[in-house]
Amino acid sequence: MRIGILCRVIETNDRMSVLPVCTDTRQLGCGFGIWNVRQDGEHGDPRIAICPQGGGVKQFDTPDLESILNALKEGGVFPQARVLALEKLKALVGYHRDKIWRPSQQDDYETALEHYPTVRREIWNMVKIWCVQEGKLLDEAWDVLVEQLSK
Amino acid sequence: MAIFVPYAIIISSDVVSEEAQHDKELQNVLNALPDTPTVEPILSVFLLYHLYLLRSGGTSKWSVYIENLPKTSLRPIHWNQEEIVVLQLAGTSISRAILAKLSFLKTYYDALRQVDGWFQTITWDDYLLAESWVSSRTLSCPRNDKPILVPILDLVNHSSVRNAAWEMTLEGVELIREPVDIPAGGEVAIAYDLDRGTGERLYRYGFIEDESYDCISKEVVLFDVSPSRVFGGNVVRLRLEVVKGGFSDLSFLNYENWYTLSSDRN
Repeated sequence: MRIGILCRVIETNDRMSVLPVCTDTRQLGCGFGIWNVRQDGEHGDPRIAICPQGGGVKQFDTPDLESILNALKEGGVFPQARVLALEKLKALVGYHRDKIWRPSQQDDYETALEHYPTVRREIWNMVKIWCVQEGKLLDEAWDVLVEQLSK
Repeated sequence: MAIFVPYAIIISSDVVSEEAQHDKELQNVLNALPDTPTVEPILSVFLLYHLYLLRSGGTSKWSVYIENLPKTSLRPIHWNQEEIVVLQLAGTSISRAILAKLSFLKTYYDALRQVDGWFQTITWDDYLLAESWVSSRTLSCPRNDKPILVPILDLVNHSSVRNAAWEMTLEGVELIREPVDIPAGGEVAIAYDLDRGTGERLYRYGFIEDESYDCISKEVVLFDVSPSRVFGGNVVRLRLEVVKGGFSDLSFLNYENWYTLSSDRN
């Protein structure tokens, strides 16, 4: 997985202050930076270095997401990053879970026709099934996220 | 091998470019297409041009193909106004995507309508139909990942328990039987995209694979509505297998949505 935005940031700034973890590094209990360690004119994939506060410099090739996460592990911040991401995912899943239609037995096509006379039966049924099937995935995702965040 | 389709009758962007070099009318309309990062609108214009030729009483190499393409579709972009309202009220993840898609297509259609000539005979419904032909029938060419239309092969229906598969060779595309029995009169079927979710399958192909209320979608596309969107970072493809894995693997988050999800930038 390539990271276009990250590469562009690296090309235009000496120090990359945008980190995929949170905006306030003080929350994480360790400051760190990501640096482009390729020299001007040097070819090849960007190479990054991470400098955990009080630790030695670690260098990583190919700034794909996995490498970044591996880099962040070195700074001891991966667990916090995971929790942050799970919390945001929970908010996102929760939003869609609340919003999706939960069809009941009463939501039959004949009743729907009273409000939407031009809706075709096959479309009505497909939307119903679609909502039920997506709702189940959202419910399952919600339960797993709640469980993971309670650990 | 069940079917072999030679390159000579496969429609790709290269075929369209080649034909446009010798056909000013087609070229003019293609030139009016807004800048597009994808090939699909180019293929749509090509099919519409041959639809126009067919309607005008002319024939071309592609007439028989065009004549036999379906003239209706259950893809949501073809739904009527009330059906779209129902879809929106249902609050599915793809409700917004459909409106965005229709708006995007309208921009293209309006741009093409500025060109004098054959495109003036193409209606909005024609344009949507061509879009559906392309969206639901193209294969991704393994050599360059670009969509191609493979006549005849694109008549093969989908089944999750497929008994055939397609393969690209040096000469064309082959439909190959899987080593399973197909009874006399039995349908030959391939698997389109096994991992698509219920909504995306309907969005792309106009059908739901398993119409059971007990079934669970394999994937849901979630749109982040927070104000902290960054480029494409407002889209998260949440997959059943990731959920079942307890979110131990978060690599489905690309950089943009990882960044969006893990930072507060209000």
